[in-house]
Amino acid sequence: MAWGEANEPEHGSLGSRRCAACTTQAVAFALDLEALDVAQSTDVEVRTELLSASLSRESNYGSASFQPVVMQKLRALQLLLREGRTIFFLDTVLNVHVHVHVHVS
Amino acid sequence: MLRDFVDDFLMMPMHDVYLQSAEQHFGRANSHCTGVMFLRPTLTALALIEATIEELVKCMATSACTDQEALNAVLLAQEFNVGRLDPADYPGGAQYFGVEPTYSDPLFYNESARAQCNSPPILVHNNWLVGRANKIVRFRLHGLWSISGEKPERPWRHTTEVSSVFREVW
Repeated sequence: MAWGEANEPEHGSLGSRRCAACTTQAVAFALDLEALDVAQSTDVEVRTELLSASLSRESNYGSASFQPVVMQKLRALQLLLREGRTIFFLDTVLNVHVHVHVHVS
Repeated sequence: MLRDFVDDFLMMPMHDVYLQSAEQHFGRANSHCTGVMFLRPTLTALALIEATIEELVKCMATSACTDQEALNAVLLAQEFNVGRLDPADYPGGAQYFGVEPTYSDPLFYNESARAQCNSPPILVHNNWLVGRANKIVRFRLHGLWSISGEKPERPWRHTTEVSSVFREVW
């Protein structure tokens, strides 16, 4: 899961530090159907471009059969960057909330 | 996540990429962790991720390398200007819990490592420990386990409680 940053265009990008109101939102790239079910039961944005029927179910980070999984993680980051989103990638268990940040400069 | 990382990110010096330290120490990192990454949508950040993909494809052909190894290889070979997340605010498991040589003991805790972290840090990465059950137990023991929409559970201190968690998650 990654946090993409959806900015209100009229206030400029997050990177400009001039955004007056930014809404962060969680984006879940479902990599298999089971993950898709779980992601769709939440209020996060669900993406299916990387969905695969043949992805390994391995969860041991250092193992060879986990390599395709981390490759999909990099593909997800690549997609979000190409869409112009600021990414907060957090490989941990999180509460999923929508945060609203108001910055006045 | 214990404090607002977006607020912190907005206060940091401008870098296209911020990475968590993969070191055991709190000094300048030579090795970076791909478990916590902040990326601005710039050509530099995109180039780093695409170079990491290329490197991972290459090393996958010959070894069980990880995306982290691929990214660090790219950083070493090329001059990407990356920012480093302060381990006092963004500790990995080594910095927040200490290093246990087998990476399998969720009860292990080194107070002197914790003392170097800010209290509370902004987030804690539950790594340097293998196994889902171990990770849940360690977070529960330290009061860091919470389910969305519920109050964080109190820290677990009793052996019987730890045992019941192991039974529950295995």
